[in-house]
Amino acid sequence: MKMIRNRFGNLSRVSVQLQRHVQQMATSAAVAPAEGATINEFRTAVANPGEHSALQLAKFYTIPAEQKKQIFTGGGLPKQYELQIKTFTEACLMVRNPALELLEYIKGADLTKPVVRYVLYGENGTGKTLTMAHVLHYGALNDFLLVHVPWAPNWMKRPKEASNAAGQEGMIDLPFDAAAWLVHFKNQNGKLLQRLQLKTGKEYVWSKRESTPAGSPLLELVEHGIARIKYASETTAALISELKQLSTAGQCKVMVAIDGFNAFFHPITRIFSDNKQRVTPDRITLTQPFLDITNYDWTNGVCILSVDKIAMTEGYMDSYMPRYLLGQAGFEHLDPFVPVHVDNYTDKEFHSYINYYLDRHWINKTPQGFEEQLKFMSNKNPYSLMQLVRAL
Amino acid sequence: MFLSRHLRLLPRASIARSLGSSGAHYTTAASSNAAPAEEDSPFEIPNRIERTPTDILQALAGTVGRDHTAPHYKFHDDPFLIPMSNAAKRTYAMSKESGRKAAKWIKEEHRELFLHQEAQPAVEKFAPSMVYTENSEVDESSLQQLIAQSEVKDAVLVYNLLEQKGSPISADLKQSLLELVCFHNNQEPLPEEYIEERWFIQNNRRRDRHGKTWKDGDLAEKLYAEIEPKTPQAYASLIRGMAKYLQCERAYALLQEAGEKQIQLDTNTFNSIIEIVSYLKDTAEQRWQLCTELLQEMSQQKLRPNLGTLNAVLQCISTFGNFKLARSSALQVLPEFKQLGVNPSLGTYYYLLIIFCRERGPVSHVIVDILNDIAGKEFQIEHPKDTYFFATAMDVCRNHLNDKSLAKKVDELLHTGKNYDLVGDSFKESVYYRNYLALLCQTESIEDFMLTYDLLVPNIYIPEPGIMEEILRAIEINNAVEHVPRIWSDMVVFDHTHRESLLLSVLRIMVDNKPNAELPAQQQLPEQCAKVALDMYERVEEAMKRLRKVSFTGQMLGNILTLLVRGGNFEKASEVFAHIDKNQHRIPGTPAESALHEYVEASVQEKSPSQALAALQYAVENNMESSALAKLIHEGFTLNETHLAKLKTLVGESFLDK
Amino acid sequence: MSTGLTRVWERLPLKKQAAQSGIRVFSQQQPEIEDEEEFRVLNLRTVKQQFQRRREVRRDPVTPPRTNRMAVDQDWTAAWPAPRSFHPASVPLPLRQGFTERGAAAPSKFANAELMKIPNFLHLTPPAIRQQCEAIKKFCSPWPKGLETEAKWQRHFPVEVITTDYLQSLPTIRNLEARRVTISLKLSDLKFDAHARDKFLRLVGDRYNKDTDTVTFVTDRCPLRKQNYDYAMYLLTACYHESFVTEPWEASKSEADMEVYLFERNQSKIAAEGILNWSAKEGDNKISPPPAYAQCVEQLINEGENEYNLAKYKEEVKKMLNV
Repeated sequence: MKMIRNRFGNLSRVSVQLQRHVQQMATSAAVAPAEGATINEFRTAVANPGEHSALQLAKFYTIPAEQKKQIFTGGGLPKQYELQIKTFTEACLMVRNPALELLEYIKGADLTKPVVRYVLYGENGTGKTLTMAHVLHYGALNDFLLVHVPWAPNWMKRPKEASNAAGQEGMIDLPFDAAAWLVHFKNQNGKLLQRLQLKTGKEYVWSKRESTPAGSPLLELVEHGIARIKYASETTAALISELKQLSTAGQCKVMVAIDGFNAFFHPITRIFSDNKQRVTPDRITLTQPFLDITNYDWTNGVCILSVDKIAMTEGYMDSYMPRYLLGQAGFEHLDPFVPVHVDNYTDKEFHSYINYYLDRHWINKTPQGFEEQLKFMSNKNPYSLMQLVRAL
Repeated sequence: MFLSRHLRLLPRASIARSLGSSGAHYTTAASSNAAPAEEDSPFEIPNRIERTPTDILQALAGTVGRDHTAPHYKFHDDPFLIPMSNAAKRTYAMSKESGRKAAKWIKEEHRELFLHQEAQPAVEKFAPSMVYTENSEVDESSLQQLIAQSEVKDAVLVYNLLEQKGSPISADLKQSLLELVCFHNNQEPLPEEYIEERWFIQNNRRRDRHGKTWKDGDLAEKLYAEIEPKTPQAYASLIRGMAKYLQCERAYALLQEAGEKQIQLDTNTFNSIIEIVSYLKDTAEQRWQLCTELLQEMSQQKLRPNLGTLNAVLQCISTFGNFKLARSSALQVLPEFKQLGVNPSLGTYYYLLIIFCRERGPVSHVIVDILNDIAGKEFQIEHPKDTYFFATAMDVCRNHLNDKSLAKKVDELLHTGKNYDLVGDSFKESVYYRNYLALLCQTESIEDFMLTYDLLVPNIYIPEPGIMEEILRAIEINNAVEHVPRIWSDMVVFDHTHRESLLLSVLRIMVDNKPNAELPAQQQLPEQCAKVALDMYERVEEAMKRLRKVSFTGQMLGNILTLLVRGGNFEKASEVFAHIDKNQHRIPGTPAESALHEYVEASVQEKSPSQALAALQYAVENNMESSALAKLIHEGFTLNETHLAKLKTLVGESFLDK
Repeated sequence: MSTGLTRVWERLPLKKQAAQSGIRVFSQQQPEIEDEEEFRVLNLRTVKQQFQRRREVRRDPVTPPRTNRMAVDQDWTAAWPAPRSFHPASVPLPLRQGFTERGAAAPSKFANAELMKIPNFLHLTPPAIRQQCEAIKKFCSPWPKGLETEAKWQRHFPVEVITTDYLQSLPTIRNLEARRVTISLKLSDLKFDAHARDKFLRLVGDRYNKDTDTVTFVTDRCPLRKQNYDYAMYLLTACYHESFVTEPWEASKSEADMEVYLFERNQSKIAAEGILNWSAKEGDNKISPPPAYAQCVEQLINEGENEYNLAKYKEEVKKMLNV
C-alpha cells in the first residue's frame, strides 16, 4: 500500500521535474504492453533500486541528479554513457536481471557471516559497469559505506605518477591516484561518515612530526590523505583496515565495488621502477588494501567485483571467464565467490531500449524493420547497439 | 616411391599380450576394458609367400604394354628427336653409343679422377681398368683373371711378360690361354657393352663368311706347339678355332691326326668340323658322305650328339645343290636326333626352312608343321643361328607361300614372352618387317593394312623405298586414294623423295583416280592432292639446286599441273607451266595432252587468255595436238586483236571461222 | 623440232664473273630478253647454278607431336608407365596453366615450365593402379581368419609397428631412411594404477597423444632397422616397468608439479573452511566444505571454464554460503 502510494508520489515528482507529457501506465504485470504503442512502457517511476523487482524488468529508471553527482563524480559510469547522459539531460539506467539478482542476494544476505564476494563477468559491452552502478546506487540509498574503485586498471596502465614508497622498501606508490581515490571516497561517503561518527581505532604515525591519534574521526584521516599526497597510499591502507575493523564490529555496513578487479592480478603494468623495469601489481602499495578488503575475514559487508577482458593487456584477452582473467592467484584469493553472468539484451530489453532512444529522438529515421536490422547487427549487445544508433 | 609394411605381425607382439595378462599385480585404474572373456577365437596367420627381391618389380613391369606411338626406349621422346628414317635411327643410336665410348675413353685417360666407388655394391665397370705395360708386375693369377674376363690383348701381353721373366706357367693356364686365343683368333672382340654397334653390325659379316680369316702360324699355333704332350683339349681347341675361322683343310687334317693317335675328342669339336664340311667337299653326295662318316666316328667314340650336332648337320645339308638329296637326308636326320633326345631349337627350324623352301624348288608347307609345333612356346637362345629363324620364316611366308595367316602366326610367336629377343640384329628385324608388310599389303584389305601400318611405322620399322612402292601399288589397286597424302608425308619424312619411280607412282595414282566427292574421306582430297603436288614440285626444285639425283620429267610436270588445276590453285599452276615453258630444253618429255587440256580449261575459267595462249604456243612448238586446244580457246574467250593475231600465227586462219 | 625461238641469256658471262669475284649483283636486274621475234637458242649445256646468296638453313621435317596419333582408347598405362616430368608432346590433353593478363588465354602446354615443375600423377591413373594391384595380388597371402574386425585385431595385436622401404634409382640400393621404426600403442591396453599412469605419462612426455590415447615411439638412432625395433620395444618395456617404481624423491612433489587439481591440497579448501568456520569457537567441530562443492571446484579447474561448469560452481557456492 505504502509502496504504491510512494510510487505514485514519485511519479508526480518525476513528471514535475521532467515537464513532460507522461502517460500513466498500469504497473500490474498482468497487462501485457502493446507493441510499440505508448512511449512510457520502458520507463518506471521507481527510483529506488531497493524497490526494484521483476516487475520493473527492462524498464528505465532515472537517477536523481544530485545522487548521481554524489556517487559518480569520481568515476563509475563509462565515458560514453556520461556523454549520453549529458545529451539526454537525464541519467537513466535500465533494470536488468543481473542487477536484480545481485540486489536479491544482497538484500537476503546474512551480514554476520563473512563477506560474500560476487564477481560480475561477461563479454565486452554487456553492462557490467552499469550493473555495478545500479547496485552502487542501491548501496548509497541504503546506508552502505561505499568503497568504490571506478576502474582499477587505470592505476596500472595510466598512473599519474609513480614514486618509491616512503614506508616500505621496494614498493611503488601512486600518490596522485591514491589522493584522487580518497577524494572520491569522501564525495561518496561524506554525509554518511558524518552521520555515523566513525572513529579510528589505532594511532597512525606518518612521520616524526605527523601522526593521527586513535579515536580521531575517519573524515580527518581522509582529509589528511588528501592534503598530504605523499602519504596518500598509506592513508588509504589505514582507512581500509579501519573500515574492516569497524564493520566487523558492527558499526557500519560496507559495500565494496571494484571494477576491473583482475587488474590487480595481471602481471603487466605500465609502471616502471627506478631502474626502468616493469613492476607487477603486488609491488604497488595501492593493491594491498584492496586485496585485503576483498578477503573473507570480515563481516557485515558485501563485495561486488567485476572482471573484464579489457582490463588485461593485449594477448591475454582470449576469454571472458573469471578464472582465466583472474589467474590462479586471483582465483585462489577470491574462492569461493558467486559468479554472476551479465549477458546481452533479451528481446524485451532490446525493444525497450529502442523505445527509449525513440523517445529521446535519438533515432530519427525509422524505416520498416529497422528494429530487426539493429537487433541483427548488434547481436543485442548494448555497447554495439549504442555505437550503431549513434549513426542514425 | 616406398612400400610400407603396416601392421607387421611379429612374435614380439607377445609383449603386449603379456602386459595385458599380467594384470594380477597391478591395480587397474578404472579401466573399462576388463573384457577377458570375449571369444578368444583361434586365428592362424598364413605363411608369407616367398619372393625374390625383384619379383614385385617384374610383376609390375609385366603390366606395361607397348605404346605404338612412342619411339624405342633408347631414343629421346621428343618430336624433334625421334628418328624418322633408317639413317636417322642408326645415327642417333650410334651417336649415343659413341657418347658412351667417349665416356669410357675419358675414364681410361684420366683414371686418377675416377677411383671413387659410389655404388653399393661396387660396379666394376665404373672403375678404371688395369693397364699392363712392359714393366708391370704380373704373375699367374693376373693371367688367369684376364683370361676369365676375355681380355685377349692384355692376356697375351701378360703371357709374353711371364715368358720373358721365365716364370713357369701351369699347363691348365696355357690350355685356357690357348682356348681364348683360338676362340677369338687373337683379335680383340667387340666389347659386349657396345650394344648399338652389335645391333647395327649388319652386313659386315657376310663378307667374312666365305673367306678364311684364321691367322696361320700365329700365337695360337705357337701355344699349341708348346703344349707337350698334346692333350685332347689342346687338339679340340685348335681344331675348333681353325674351323671357326675357316681354316678348313688344316682343321680336318688335325682331326684325322687326332683320330690316328686315338685321342678322345668331344662332341663340339666334331660339330665344328661338320659345320665346315661344305668347304671341304664340293658335291652334295660327297658332303653327305663325309658327314655320315664323321657322325659314325662320333658314335664310335661314344660321343653323344647335341643340338649343335643337329644344327651343324642341317647346315651342311642346306648347302647341297641337289634338292632331293637335301630333303631326304634332312628327313632322315630329324627323327634320329629326336630319338636321341635332342630338342630342336629355332636354328634347327631355320635350317629346315632354307632346305625345304627354296626359291626355285617346289613349294613346301613344312612351315605349317613347324608353326604348329612351336606355337605359343617361349624360346631362349640356344644356338647362334636361332636369330635367323624369324626373318627367314617371314620371308618364306611372303615369297614362297604368300600366306597371310601363317605370317600372322609367326608374328604372334615372335611376340609371345621373350621371343622378341631372338629377332637378332637390326638387319634381320628390318627384313622381317619388310616381308611382313609387303605380304600384308598384298593380301589384306587396305583399311586393315593401314591399321597395321600405323602400329608399326615409324617406330618399330621404317619401310624402304621398295616397300613404299608396294604399298602405293596396293593403294592403287584398291582405289584408296585418300591414303596417298598420308603416304606422301611419310615418304617425305623417311627421306624417300629422291626416288624418281616413287614420285612418278604417287603422281600417277593421284592423277588417275579422280576423287569421288561423295565419300567423306575423299572430300578434302583435291586440295590435299594439290598440296602434295606442290610439295613435290618444290622439293624437286630444291633438290635440283643442290645437285641431287632427281630431276623433272615432262610427264611428272604434267601430272603436277593437272593436280594443281584440280585443287583449284591456278596461280601455282601457271607458275609450274611457266617453268615448263621456260626450261623446255632441260626437261625430257612433255606433259600429257590431257594435262594441257585441263590447264587451258582452267585458264578459260580464270579468264586469263595469255596463259591459254602460252599453253597453245607450247603445244604447237612441241608438236602436240593443238587443234582442240585452239578451239577451246577460241570458244572460251572473246579475244582482242593481239591475241587473235597470235592465235592466227600459231594455228592458222582456219580456226577463226569455226 | 619446228622453228624454235631461242632466248639468249646475254648477261650470263658477266654474272659468272660476278659470282666468281663475289660482287653483289642484287641491284642489277634479271635480264629476260623477251623478244618474241628473235630466235631462241637451244642451249644443251647445263647451266651452272647461280651462287646462292643466302644459305638457307635446311631443316629436316619435324613430325607433329605424337599426341595427334594417339587413339582415344589407347592403353595409357603403356604410354606413361613410370613417374616422369610432364612432356607436352606425349600427353594428349589440351592443358593450360599460368597467369596472363586479363583476357588472354593461359599459356599452352608446350614449353610450359610450370606444368613441368609441378609433380604429375599421370602414372597413377585408376586403371594403372588397378592393373598394378592385380599384378601384385599373387604375392599377397590371404587375411587371417579370425581377425576380421578391427576390434579383434586391436585386441590380439595392440602394438602397431610401421617401417618403410624405399626404392630409388641411384647407384646404391641402400637408403638411410629405411632404418626408422615407429611403434604405437593405445594406453588403454596397458594396465596402470594412478601413480603409475601419471609417472608413465611424464616419462613419455610428448609421445602421448591425448585425443587418440596413443603413445608412439619413433626410433632411428641405430643404423639397422632390427636394432631400432629392439630399442623401441625396450623403451616401451622400460617405461612401463619404471612407472610402477616409486623413487624416494617423488615425495617432494609440490603443488606446481601436480597434474590435476585436488581440492584437498589447495587454497580453496582453506578459504572455504575459513568462511564456514568463521563464527565457530575453539574446540567446536569444524564444518568441512560439502563434497559437492569440492568436486565442482575441481571440475572447474581441471576441465577448464565453460558456462556449464561456472553455473554449477555458482549453485554450489550459493548453497554453501546460504545466499
